[in-house]
Amino acid sequence: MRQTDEGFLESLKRDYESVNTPPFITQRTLTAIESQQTRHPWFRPALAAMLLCSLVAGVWMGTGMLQTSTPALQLAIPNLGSSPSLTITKPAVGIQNLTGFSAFPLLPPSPQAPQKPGAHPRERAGHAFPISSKPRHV
Amino acid sequence: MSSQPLSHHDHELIAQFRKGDADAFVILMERHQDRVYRLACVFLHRLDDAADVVQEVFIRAYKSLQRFFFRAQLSTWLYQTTRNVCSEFNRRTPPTAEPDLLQAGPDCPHTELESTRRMLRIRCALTVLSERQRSVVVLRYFESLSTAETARMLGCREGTVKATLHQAMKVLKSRLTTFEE
Repeated sequence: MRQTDEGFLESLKRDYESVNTPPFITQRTLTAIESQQTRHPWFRPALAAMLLCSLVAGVWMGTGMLQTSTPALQLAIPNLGSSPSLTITKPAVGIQNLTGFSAFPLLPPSPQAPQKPGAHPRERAGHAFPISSKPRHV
Repeated sequence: MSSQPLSHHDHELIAQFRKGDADAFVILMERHQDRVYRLACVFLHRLDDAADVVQEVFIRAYKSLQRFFFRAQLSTWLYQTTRNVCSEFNRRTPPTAEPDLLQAGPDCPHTELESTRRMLRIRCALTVLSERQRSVVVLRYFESLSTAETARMLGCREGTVKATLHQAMKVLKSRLTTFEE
């Protein structure tokens, strides 16, 4: 019985050792590796270039927006000193003045706001941002 | 899976491949692909996937050999990768019935058919074993690795390998006895 067992296992081992890879596999694997290699050289740099372009475009647009919004800030910040929004007596005026704080430069400045920069006494005295703690009543 | 001098030779080939010699990789592949294929045939649910597993293992080897640190032998690395890839394939495909060899087309080469028939016989014999027992039998008995090498590949102690092999042989023999009765 033992001899039969050994014979069975030996024959299994012989069968196992005689199994070889089908001949097409080597070529197929090499072709697959080659195709992956040909994809990589342009794929990664292209992705990197795309990301870099997005970053540059983002920075450029951000800088452009800052430059565009600067006059609006200059117009809006003097309103702080005379902002009736702190002591709103007439809501309509308050809302009107609030639009003066807007970052949108296309909106016309509020009629209550000083029409030209430097109209405020603090600004005339050389302060860039004339902020008054004393609210002016409308 | 590999003796010490062969392994040393593997390292030289890997060093050549890192320097840009693509032929060194082809030599490595031709040296190890039969073993990878046989292991895949034993561990896979579907025998048809074995060729795909060999391809996937060597694609991973090609990518990984650039940063191979020589902490392990290449054969150990290939064995682990083959097991991992087989597990990935097995997760995708549930166990199915073995292919019917009589349905093989006329374009199927005779040698390939014979090879598949032999592998089916082995798979049939090993179905009674657990996954661990199968691994030990394949590495220790079929691949003729030492107990220490088998233990290193399976990540267990040498004593565990010996005990598992003993149990596996007992199961195989009992199956043979049942089959003969």
